[in-house]
Amino acid sequence: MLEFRIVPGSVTPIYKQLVDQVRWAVFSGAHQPGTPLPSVRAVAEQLVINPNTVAKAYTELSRDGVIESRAGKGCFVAARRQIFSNAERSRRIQDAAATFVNEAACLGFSPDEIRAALERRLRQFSEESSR
Amino acid sequence: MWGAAALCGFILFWWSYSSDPWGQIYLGVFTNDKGHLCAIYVLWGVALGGLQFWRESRGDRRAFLFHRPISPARIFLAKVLAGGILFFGAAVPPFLFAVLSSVYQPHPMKPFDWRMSLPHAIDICCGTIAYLAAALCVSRPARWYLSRGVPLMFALTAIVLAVRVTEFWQALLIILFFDAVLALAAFGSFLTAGTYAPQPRIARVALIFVLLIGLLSLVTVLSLSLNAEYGFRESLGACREYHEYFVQRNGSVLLGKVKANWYPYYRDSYENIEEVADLNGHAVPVNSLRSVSGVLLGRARPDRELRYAYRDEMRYYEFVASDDVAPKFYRNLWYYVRSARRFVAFGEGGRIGSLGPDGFAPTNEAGAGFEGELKDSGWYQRGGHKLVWAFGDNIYTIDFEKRSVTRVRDLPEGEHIECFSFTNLYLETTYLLTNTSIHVLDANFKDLLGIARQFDARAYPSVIVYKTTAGYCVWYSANDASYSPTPPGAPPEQISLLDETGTVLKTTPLPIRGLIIGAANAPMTLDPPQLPESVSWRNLISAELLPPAGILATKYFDDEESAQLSLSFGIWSPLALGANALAMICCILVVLWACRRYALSRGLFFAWTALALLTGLAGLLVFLSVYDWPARENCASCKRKRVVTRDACEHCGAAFPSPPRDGTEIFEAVAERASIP
Amino acid sequence: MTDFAIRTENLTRYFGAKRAVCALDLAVPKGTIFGFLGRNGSGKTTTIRMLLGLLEPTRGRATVLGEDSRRLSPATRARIGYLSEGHYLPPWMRVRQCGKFQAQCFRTWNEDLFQSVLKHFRIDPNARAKALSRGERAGVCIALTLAPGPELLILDDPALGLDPVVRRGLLESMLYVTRREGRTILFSSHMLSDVERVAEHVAIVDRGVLRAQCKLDTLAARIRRILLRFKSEPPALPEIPGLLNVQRFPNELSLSIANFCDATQKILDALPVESSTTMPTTLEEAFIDYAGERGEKSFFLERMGGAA
Repeated sequence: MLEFRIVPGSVTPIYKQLVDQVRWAVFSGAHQPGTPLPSVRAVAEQLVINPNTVAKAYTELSRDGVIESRAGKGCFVAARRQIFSNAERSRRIQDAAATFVNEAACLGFSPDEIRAALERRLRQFSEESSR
Repeated sequence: MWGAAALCGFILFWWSYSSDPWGQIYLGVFTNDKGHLCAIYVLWGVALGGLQFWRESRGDRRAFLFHRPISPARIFLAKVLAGGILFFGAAVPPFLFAVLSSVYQPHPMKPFDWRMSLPHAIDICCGTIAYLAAALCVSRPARWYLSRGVPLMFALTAIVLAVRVTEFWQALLIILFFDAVLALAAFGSFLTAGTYAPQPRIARVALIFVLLIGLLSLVTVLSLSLNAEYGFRESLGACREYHEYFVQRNGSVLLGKVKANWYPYYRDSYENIEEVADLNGHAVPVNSLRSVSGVLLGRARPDRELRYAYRDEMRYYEFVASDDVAPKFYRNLWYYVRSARRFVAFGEGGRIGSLGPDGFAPTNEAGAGFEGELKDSGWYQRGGHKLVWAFGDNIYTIDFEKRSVTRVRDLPEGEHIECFSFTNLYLETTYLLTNTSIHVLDANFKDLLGIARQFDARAYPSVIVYKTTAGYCVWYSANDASYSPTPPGAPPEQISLLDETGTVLKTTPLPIRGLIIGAANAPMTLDPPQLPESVSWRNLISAELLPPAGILATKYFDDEESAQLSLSFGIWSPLALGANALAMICCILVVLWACRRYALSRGLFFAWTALALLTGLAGLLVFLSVYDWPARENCASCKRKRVVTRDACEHCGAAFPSPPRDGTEIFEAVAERASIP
Repeated sequence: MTDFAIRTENLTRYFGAKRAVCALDLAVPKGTIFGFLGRNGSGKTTTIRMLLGLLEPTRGRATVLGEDSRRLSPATRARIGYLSEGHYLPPWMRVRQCGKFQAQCFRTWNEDLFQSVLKHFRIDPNARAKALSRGERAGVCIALTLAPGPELLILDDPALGLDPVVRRGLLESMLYVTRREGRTILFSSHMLSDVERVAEHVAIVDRGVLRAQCKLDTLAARIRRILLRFKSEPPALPEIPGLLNVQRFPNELSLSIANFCDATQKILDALPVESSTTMPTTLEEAFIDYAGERGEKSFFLERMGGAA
């Protein structure tokens, strides 16, 4: 089961944090396709947030193909599928990169430091996915 | 907390009940006929009403009370019920105890009738008026001019009225009526936390009524006290001139003009017979007047019982004698008890017994009562201790010491005593007036004179009998034996001359001469009186306070004397009337100004103007204090001031502008929600 | 109208000459959690009192659960729960007496729920109200409000003065209410982190005037902070629509803009900026920008005695 944590009052909206956490969990390989996700209600009550926020996160995830909902049974991690076109994928990675770089720049890191941080994270990612 | 309050109330009443001068609980209570204990109940009512409604009149407490699925009417009723239980719970037990202890008193010292407790029941009920008035006071908004306290003045008026009426049921009805009005007004203010407009209509009417009566009584008291001294002083200095018929010793009748200067506060008040003339108008020297006084036998007065209010203990019994013989004084006290129609004696050991027409019955044995109402009595004190009593259609002599009752005279069928009187203590001659005859009785109560009434008792209720040298003179008057002058429109007095045996010699009608009042030191004429020369500022102010209706009312008093008296109040002087008219115009202008400024409808304007004209300053004050006057702002389109409570400007009809937008507003139409999986 | 739990039209209230609430057009959809935000004294409590029929509006009207707020019937009042910021309880009453008192009024009273809420807040049912701490009183009031299972819950600054644990309990209670379909909550709060957790829609009131009414995400999205870097002293700014405030630094301008759109972007592009960055903001900062002082603020670093 996925464990969620949120940081209220951060610059990232709550639903975005949830989406990011699910994404990270799925793409890091920690959870295989078919793993059940906790129900919206359970997440909402555990984190003490509005269920609609969780619902919104789940909706976005299922729209992106990260999770799929099976009737009557709930949401599960979806098998990885390419649902975006290459153009769309590259646009998305540009967006992600822009966000990351902006944040890092605001924090005052130099391009080398940014690159170093990125390398560290990628190393971590590949270690976890190989497990 | 409420338990403690009730206990306090209980103790308070206990203390008040026991603090009577005779040192016995039950007696102290029931010899009160002025209602001073009323004040304690009123204070208790005010405290209870104020405290109960004040705590929850605003803020979070009010929200806690109001926001529940019970209609506000039920909440109000529940509070009033709780208050009522507390109020009566503290007031009634001591009262009941006093009543019961009086009823079952083994050694009573005075007669007790359960109806003597009624005044105190009314006093207790007056407390409910105070309770509701306090509840209303506390629910009203506080204004700088203290309009909040007016309901208390209303309560005071209501309580004074309730205490002053003569019958119990009248007092009860008054209390119920004022309670109902106050309850409605209190409910309205309770419902809306003091604002006026959202109250239900009947509550608004009740509130206006309460404020109106309260302010009217305040204004009237103010006006009268301002004026009374002046007017009173005027009438103090008033000269009365009246004509009076004098019956001479020889039986002739003379007409005298009497002048009275009447200064009760000063020493030199006097009455002076100024001129005397005979019936033909020929003057007679004043010092040749040899009048003889007669015995006035008035019209059938109402039952002695009914003459007294329910509050008066005399309605239930009256003290008649003490059979004290030296050296023992006040050994036994005798009372005539109306419910038993017997004379009851109370001594050291309590009730001794009772005397009736059938004689003496000891202690609690019952006996027959005297038939008919007790009319009058006389003392007879010669070699013994006897009293003479007239009842219904019998006359008795009663010796309280020997406890004997003797009937000395009874009347034929169809006749009953209207009046029984005497001239001196020795009862050598007594006078008897029945519905059909007139008798003069000797010491043995036999007729010295016995004639039929010449004139119908209804037309001429009063009879005065004179003993003249030639016989008797009987004067019949349409007046009801009060000593005020007969009004001019009444039928003329009739005087009959009789000889010793009672034969009518001559009957002369005497025209009525009225009463004239004038200002002091003014020349006495029979012309209409002069108005006072100057009008003081007090007259002016008091005239301004009173409504035109009130001033008009002073013109239509019942008898001429009061009407003439009011002239001395200066109310009818042109200056005072002018001041009143000016005040009324000012009232109308104020109402007009307020209605236009705050955009009240024309119907309301007319209604309030009518009320102000009818009730004077009081009505105007009610108008000013009852509304929540709204704020005013400048209208965006026509630039004039408009009230904030209306959507459309009263001058140009424009709506209020929406708040200005500066581009930072974030509004979003409400879209469909996604359902939760 | 039927799918709004609360709808106001031109709701206005004056206290004397002072206008506390001005032409409020609130629309609270059914089944949502609606955050009612605003600074202190902006008219939130007044609005809520008017919604409950405890205060008479000067102008305009409010419709609550389909009924006019001035004439709420007892049946409708049974469906509305109200929690005020004072957490008032009659001081002499014991907690269980409070419960019994409320239970008598409401037919839909759920005693188990009442007891479980009390247990959750660890409140002794025998304690007298005046002996309870603020948090415990709040717990009792929450229990009293939730137990009848109201359809509409109106909370006036319920978290005021409460410790974080009790606040969390309050949030959980609010979420519990929305378990059932169609339950609406209107609450006002200053704890924006709490608002962010549970509110779907928000409305912001400023000096009695409604300035924003939208989804929470929309609010966050539409308020943007932009940092403009200049080579030298930043120039005077032209008129920018939706500008909330500006902070001036030696080489930078930090702009807070509401309703950012292409036209605004064009205006900013016209300035001689070296770089322009959109700063991510939290909800609290967005709110402070929105409801705080408007206009240009200058921050003289020299006074701080050091560089930025």
